[in-house]
Amino acid sequence: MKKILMLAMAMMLVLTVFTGCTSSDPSTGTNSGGGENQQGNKVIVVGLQAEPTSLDAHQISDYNSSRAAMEIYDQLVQFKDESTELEPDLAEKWDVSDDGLEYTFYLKQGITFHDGTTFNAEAVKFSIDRQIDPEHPYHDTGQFAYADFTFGPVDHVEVADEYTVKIYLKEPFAPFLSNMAMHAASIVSPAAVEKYGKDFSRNPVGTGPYKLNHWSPGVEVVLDKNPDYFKGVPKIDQIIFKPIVDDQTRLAELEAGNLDLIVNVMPDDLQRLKDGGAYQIIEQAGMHVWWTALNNQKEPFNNKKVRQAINYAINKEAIVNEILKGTGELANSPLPPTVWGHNPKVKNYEYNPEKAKQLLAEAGYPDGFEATYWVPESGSGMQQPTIMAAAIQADLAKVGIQLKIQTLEWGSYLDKVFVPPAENDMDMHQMSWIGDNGDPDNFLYILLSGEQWPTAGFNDAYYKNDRVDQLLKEARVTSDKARRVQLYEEAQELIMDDAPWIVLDHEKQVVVAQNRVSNFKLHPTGVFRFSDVDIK
Amino acid sequence: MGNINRDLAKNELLDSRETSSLEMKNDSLSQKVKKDGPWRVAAKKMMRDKAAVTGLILLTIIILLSVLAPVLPLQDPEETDLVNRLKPPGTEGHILGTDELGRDLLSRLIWGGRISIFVGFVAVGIALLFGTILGLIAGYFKRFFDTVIMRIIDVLMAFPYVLLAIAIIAALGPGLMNTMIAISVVGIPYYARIVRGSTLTFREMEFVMAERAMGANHFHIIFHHILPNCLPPLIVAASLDVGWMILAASGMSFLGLGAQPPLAEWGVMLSEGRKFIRVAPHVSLFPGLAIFLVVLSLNLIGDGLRDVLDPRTK
Amino acid sequence: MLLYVLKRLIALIPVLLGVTILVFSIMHLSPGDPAKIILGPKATEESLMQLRADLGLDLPVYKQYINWISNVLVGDWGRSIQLKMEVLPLIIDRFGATLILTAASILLAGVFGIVFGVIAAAYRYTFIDRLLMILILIGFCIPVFWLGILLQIEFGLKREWLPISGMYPPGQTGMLELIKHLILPAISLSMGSGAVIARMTRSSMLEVLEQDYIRTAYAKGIREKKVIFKHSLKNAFIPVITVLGMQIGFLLAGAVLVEIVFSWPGIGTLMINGILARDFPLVQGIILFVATAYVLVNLIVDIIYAFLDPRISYE
Repeated sequence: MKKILMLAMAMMLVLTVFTGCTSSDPSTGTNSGGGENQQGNKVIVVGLQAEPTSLDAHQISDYNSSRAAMEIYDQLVQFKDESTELEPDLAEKWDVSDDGLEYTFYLKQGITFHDGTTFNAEAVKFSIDRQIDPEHPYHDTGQFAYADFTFGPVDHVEVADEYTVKIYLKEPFAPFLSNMAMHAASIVSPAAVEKYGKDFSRNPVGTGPYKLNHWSPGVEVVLDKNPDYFKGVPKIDQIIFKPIVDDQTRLAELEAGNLDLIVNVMPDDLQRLKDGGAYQIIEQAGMHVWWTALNNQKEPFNNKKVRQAINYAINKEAIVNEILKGTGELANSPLPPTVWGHNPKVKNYEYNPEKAKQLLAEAGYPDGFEATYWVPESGSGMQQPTIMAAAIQADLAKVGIQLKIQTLEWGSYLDKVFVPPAENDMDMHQMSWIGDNGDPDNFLYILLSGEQWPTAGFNDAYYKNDRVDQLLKEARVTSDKARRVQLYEEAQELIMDDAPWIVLDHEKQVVVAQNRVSNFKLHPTGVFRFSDVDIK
Repeated sequence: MGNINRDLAKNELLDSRETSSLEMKNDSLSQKVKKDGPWRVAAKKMMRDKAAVTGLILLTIIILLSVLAPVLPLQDPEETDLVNRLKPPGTEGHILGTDELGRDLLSRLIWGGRISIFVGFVAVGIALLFGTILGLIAGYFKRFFDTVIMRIIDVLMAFPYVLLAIAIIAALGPGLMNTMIAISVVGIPYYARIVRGSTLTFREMEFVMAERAMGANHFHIIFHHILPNCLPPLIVAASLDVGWMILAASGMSFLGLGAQPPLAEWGVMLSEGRKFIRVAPHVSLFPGLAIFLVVLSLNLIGDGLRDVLDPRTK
Repeated sequence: MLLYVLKRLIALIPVLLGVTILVFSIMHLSPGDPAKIILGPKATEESLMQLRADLGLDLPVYKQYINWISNVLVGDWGRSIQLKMEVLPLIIDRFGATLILTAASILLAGVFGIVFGVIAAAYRYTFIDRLLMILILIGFCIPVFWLGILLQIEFGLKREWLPISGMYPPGQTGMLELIKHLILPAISLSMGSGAVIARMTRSSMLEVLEQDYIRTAYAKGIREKKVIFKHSLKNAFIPVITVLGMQIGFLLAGAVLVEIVFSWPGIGTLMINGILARDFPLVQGIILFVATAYVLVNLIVDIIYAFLDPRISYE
C-alpha cells in the first residue's frame, strides 16, 4: 500500500522537477521583451488589443491595424504632432484653385519605397485610383473601407509631370485637404501591389520610417527601421507589436516588464498604476465622443422636454469620475475640444433630478415611462458600455424612467442600429464616434444633420432641426475658416438645447509605457508615432 | 467553463460504446428491474450516507436563502452607489463589500443564487427532456430512427461546443434566456446517448418482450417499463451537470455573451469581477465560492444517488 | 479490423456533411452582415452592395453552400473576409498551436487524474480519499479564465518563474521557450479534465476492487499492491480511456478560453474573432477542420479501446 503512494509521489516529483528546471534558468528569464537585445539593437514591444487584420493602409478600418501599419507609410500631407493642423509630408507644397476644385501637389524628389522603386506622381495616382476606380486593374486587390469617405469628392487624378499631381474635385469640399492626411491617403508602392495582389495586405510596402520584417498571424508583427527614411533614420531599430486580447493579461505583461507600451488599461487599474508611479502615463484627448442616442422621431423622445429631463436626471460627472476614472473628459458639446470650431461656451446639462421630474411632469409623464436601452457588449470607442449603461439605468430609475437594457454583440448591434427610422423600433442606444480628419464637419454634419439619417449617414438619433441643417450645410462649402467657426458654434448651441442625445464624454487615449521609453507621442487620430522615440 | 466536463457518473453510465459494458450490466440490472418500489429503499439508504446528507443540507440552505431573498433584510441588489464602488469586505453596511457599481455584494450574491440555480436546473431540464425523447425513440424503434437521430447527435457532438453555444447566442442575441438555450442544446447529445444505451438494453429484456407479445402498445411500454428504468443513471448525471451548466454560462459571459445587466447572476458576476481582479479580488472570489458550494453539494448528492441507485454497488 | 475502420470512416461522411450544413445555416441565418462589419458604419450603401457581390453573399443561401462545399472538396477553402488570407493555410498554421496545448493538457490531465484517482481508491473512504475528492472538485469548479489570471499573476508576475502569455518571446523560437510558455496554459486547461479523470479512475477502481475475482484474489492472500496493480488497474483503464477520448473533444473546444487568456496563437482566438466579424469562410473552415479532427480522434480512441477490451467486436 505504501509503495503505491510512493510511486504516485515519485511521478509527481518527476513532473515537478521537470517543470522546475525549465523555469529556473535565469539567463533566459522571462524578462525578454523590450530594451536592447543581444546584438545591442534597440527594440520596443507594444501590446495591442487584438490582431491587426491588414497592413494595407488602404484597407485599414480599426485601431489595431492602423497602429501596427501606419509607420510603414507616408501621406502627401500629415497632421502636426498633437494637433489636426496640417504640414507637408511627401508633398513639398500644394496649391488650391480659387474655385476649390483643383488641388495641385508638388512632390518631394529622391524618395524611394522600401522595395527600392521610386516615389513619384504615378504612385500617388495609383494609390488613389486603386481605391476609387472600379475599372482599375488592381481595384480587386482589397476592400477599401475608407475610400468613399476619403475620396468621395474626388472626380479624377491627373499626373502633370513626374513630381506634380493634380486632384480634381466634383464640388468644393472644405475639409478635403485634411482627408489627404488620413490613412487611406497613404501612398503605397505600385510595384509591390502588382507583385503581391491580394496578399499586399500581408506584404506592405510604403515609404515610411519602418518596414515590415515579418508578420506571424496571432503572434506578432515585427517592423524594422528604414535606414533610408527621407526624414532621418529612426532611433529604434525594431518595433514588435503583440496582440494580447485579454486586458488583464496585457497589463500583467507590462508589469512584468515584457511590454514597453500598452493601450486600453481598465480605468481602475490605471488609477493603481498612477498611484504606484512606476510608469509613464501618456494621455491625449482624442477626437472622440460617446453618447446615448434618443429616438427623436418616436414617443416620448420626440418631446424636447423629455429629452432634456433625461439629460438632467443623469449624473454624468459621477460616471466620468468614478467609472471612467478620468479616462474621459466630460463633454459640453458633441464636438470634442481637440477639434477646431468647438464652442467652449455651451454647457452640458447638470445633474438635477428635481428639474428632471418637473420637466417630465410638464411633458405629461409625471410618473415616468418605460423604455428599452440597447447596449453593445463591446466595440471600438464604446469604453465600458455595460457598466455605463447600468449607471444610466439606475439614475433614470430615480426619476421614474424604467429602462430595460438589452445587450447585443457588436456585429448584430450595428445591424440593428443603422436602419431607416421607419424600420427601427429603437428607444435609446449607445454609440460613439472617432473623428477621421479633424474637421468639425466630420462630427456635426455626419452625426446630426437631418440629411444624414441612416442609411445615408450616421445620424442615429434621427435628429432634425432645419436651422441646424442649414448651418451645417453652409459650413461645408465655405472655405473661410473664421466663418465656418461661427456657423459651427451656433449649431452647437442649438443642438445642446435640443438635447437629441445624452452626450457624455470624450475619451482620452491612454498609453502606459515603461519609463525607459522617451519621446513617445500619441496623435489625436489614435495613430502611434515612433520616428522620434528612443529608449534610455 | 473550459473545464467543461461532464462529470464522471455521466460518462460512466453513458457507456454507449455500445455492446460490451451493457452486456456486463444485464444480469444485475434484470434482478433489480423486477423489484418494485426501489425509490423508497433508495431514500432510506441515502439518509445513512453522511456525505450525501451534508450535501443535501448545504443545498437546502443555499436554495432557502435564494428563495427567501425578497424577505431577507438585504439592500437593493441593483442600487448603485458610484462613490462607494469596489469597497472591500467588512466595509460598514456591506459585509462582503461592493462591486464595480457600488452595489452590495452580499445582496447580489443571494439574489444571484435565484437566477444561477435556476439557470443550472432549467438548462439541465431542457437538455434532459430533449435528450430523453431522442434517446428513447432511437433506442426503442431502432433502424431508421436510430440511424437518423444518432447521426444528428454525432453532428452535435462533433461540433465544438463553445462554438455551438456562441453561434446560437450570436443568432439569438446575448441574454440569460439565450445562454440557457445554448448551453442546454450542448447537453442534449449526452442525455440522448445515456437513454438510448439503456433503452437498447431494456427493450430486449424478457418482461418487455412479454408485454410486446401480449400486444401492449409502444407508448405504454416506453412510459411504463423502459423510461422508469432509464431514470436512475439520468438523475445522477443530471445532478452532477447542474454545476457544469452554471460554469458554462459563466464562460459565455466571459466571452461577452451572458446575461443582461443589471441582473445579478453568479457567472456574470464572476466574469465581470475578473476585470477588477487586481484592485478588488473579492468581487469575483465570492461568486466563485458560491458556485463551488453548489457544485460541491450537488456532487455529494449525486455520489450518494449513484450509490443507492446503481445496483452494482452494494 | 481493416473493414471496421473503413466502415467507420465512411460513416463519418454524413456526419461531417451535417456539420457543414449546420455551421453554414447558423452563420448565414444569424443577424450580422460581414460587409457592414468590414467596411464599418461609415460605408455607403453602394460599397456595401459591391462588397456583398464580391463575396458572393448576394446569392441564395443554398447556392452559396453548394459553391462553398464544392470548392472545399477540391481544396479551395476560400479567403478569410476579415484577415484577407487563404483559409486553409491559416487554419493549419494556427491549429498546430492548439494541438500542442491540447496534447500537453491531456498528458497532464491523464497523469495527474490517474495518479490521484488511484491514490483515492487505494485509500478509499478515508480522510485522504475525501481530501483528494474535495481538491478535485475545486479543480473542477474554477473557471479557466479565472484560474488563468491567478496563475499569471502568481507565477508570471510575482515570482517570475514562468512567462505570462504567448507561445514564444518576441521574435524568438525554441523548444525550451515553448515548454516554459506552455506550462501555465496547459495547467489551466487540464484542471477540469484532470478532475473528471481522477473521479473516473477512482470509481472504476472501486468497482473493480469489489468484483468477485478480486475478492478471490484477496482471499488467496495476494498482497494488496499486487491486487491493485495487476488486476484492478488494467480493468479500470478501459473506461478511463473512453473518458480521455471524450475529454479530447472538450479540451479542443475549451482551449478557446485558455487561448484568449494566455494569448496563445491557436485556433480559438481565430474562431471567436471570426464569429464576431461574421467571417463566414473562416468560421466554416475552422468548424469543418475541428470537427474532422474530433471524429478522427474518437475513431482512434475506439480502436485503442477495442484493442484493450477484446470483448468488443467489430460489427
